Amino acid sequence: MRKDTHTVRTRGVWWRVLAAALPLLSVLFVSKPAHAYSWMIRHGYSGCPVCHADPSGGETLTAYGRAQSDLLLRMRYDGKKAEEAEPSPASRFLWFMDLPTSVLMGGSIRVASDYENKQFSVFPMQLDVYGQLRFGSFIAGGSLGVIKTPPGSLYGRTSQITTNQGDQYNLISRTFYVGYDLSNEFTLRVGRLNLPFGVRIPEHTMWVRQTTRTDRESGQEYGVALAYNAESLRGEFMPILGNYQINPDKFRERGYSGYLELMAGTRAAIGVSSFYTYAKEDRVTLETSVARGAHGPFTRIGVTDEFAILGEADLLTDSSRALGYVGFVQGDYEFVQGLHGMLTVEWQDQGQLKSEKVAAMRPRPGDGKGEMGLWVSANWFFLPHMDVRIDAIQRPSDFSLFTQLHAFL
Amino acid sequence: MRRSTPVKTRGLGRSLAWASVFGALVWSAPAGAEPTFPAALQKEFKNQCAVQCTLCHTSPEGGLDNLKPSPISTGPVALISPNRGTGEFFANLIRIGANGGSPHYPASDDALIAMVKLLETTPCDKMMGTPCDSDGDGTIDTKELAEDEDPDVIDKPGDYCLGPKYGCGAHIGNIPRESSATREAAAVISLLGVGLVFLRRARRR
Repeated sequence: MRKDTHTVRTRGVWWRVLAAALPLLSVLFVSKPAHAYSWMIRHGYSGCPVCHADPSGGETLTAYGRAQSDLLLRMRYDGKKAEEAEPSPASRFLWFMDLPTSVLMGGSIRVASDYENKQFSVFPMQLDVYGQLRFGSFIAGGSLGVIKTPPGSLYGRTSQITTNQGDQYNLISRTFYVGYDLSNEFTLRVGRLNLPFGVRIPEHTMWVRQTTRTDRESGQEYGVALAYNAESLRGEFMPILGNYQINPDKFRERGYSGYLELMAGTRAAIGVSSFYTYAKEDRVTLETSVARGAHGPFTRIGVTDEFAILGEADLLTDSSRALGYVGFVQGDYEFVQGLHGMLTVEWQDQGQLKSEKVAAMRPRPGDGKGEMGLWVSANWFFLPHMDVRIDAIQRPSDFSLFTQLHAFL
Repeated sequence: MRRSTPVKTRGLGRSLAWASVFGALVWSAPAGAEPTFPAALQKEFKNQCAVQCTLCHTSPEGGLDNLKPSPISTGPVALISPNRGTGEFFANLIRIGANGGSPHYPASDDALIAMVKLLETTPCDKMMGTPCDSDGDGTIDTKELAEDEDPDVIDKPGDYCLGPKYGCGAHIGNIPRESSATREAAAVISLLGVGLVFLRRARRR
């Protein structure tokens, strides 16, 4: 009886906190991806569909994923080990809401601050909701969000539904799809999807995701994706039909993206990914007839219960540039459950543009000349659905101290 | 005794709600390094689109570390694509915008527009009595800007808007809204949050 009373009170508290927080959420209008923690391999979770609706991980959580988030991800204050504890009621959607088994719902909200070039700014980063419906073997899902990015910024633009090109608010949808589970292992999806490529990390500005344009912030494309998830092998292949939220057609990239990952032991995986597209005109460099590709291996290793390593190295092929490369290695150490320290080294050289007028230019770091970056990060999952993260990022061009408060619904 | 915790929590919830309302009402668009210059030019010249950052930068993403050469920095120029300008417009903007003083980069949207207005009225040099025509096509820069033309390139009308457009079936965008809309939207959602708190409380009673 006392437990029931406590549960009701707890629900009330969470509801009140949520309602009170709603106004704060009203300032959250820009974009960044949600969560997909590839280092969960340290717990023996090699595959993604157990916890995520996306067969390659990210965004919408399954009911089991919500429970594991509560048991394994957040800091525990009751002294219990994860295997002894039960998921708290707050692990539900919006902290309190039970959903039918056929419905998955979620969302992501981020507020960030940045200290860069001796300037400090606080800004909203993301307000997204997402979900998936299941009818037997049929699935349908997607996301909706709001962004407000300055003209010239490439973030979030490619997901716009509304057509404002300036610094106005825009409605965005990063993903939407219908799909069918062909078997326990195969899932076919059609729509606007995250590109299956490399390690699915949340750091969308890391060179390995930004340069290859395979991040979950703005790298989605229209296409047909076939995913395979078995105990020791997983992969996804997606013919890319172009991003129909970019106009005119000459800027749309068409080709393929895919990866294959093999479990090497209970807590280690090694994979290879490949991406190749062609566009009549590149939407970023405005070079014409650009065939762009990235190909290379990646790995995820749970070294101990506390320590995991992620890594990826890609060769970049771009018909408008010299041959390039990009990669990263990240070590993630969980000091106590819910508190992570991360050290990341990244490197890249996109290859210098071949344009005759540029050929006389001296190569610059990252553009004809190699460059390295260092991230020192800490991530504290301090409450159910909530974490705070700080990244000190040193790159040749600048130093940035980036913090973010993140809540997922 | 058993009620003490909920009472405290209720007070906390109320404080949070009102603090949130206050925070949302005073919220304004973030300042600092936001690249708002394209929008400022679009608004000033009532253009059909925001100019590409490559008008003044060597990269489509803009940024202080890749400005085109000017009287302040005369570094090498990396041209972005075939037939794009070599940066004379930016150099002229900085030179004329200094208005006889030390050349400097504009520190705000207003400062940029003030420099552009000088470009419209000030002779490009002592020999020529007319404002700058950076690409030498016979049309002064500010007139080209007003006609959606790239002042750095001898090209066709509309080449100012040469980049991709975003959104479903994207047409060219409108003039940006005033920033007060941000606060209005925040206020509406804030009131919604407070309303939810009181609704919940009323239901309990």
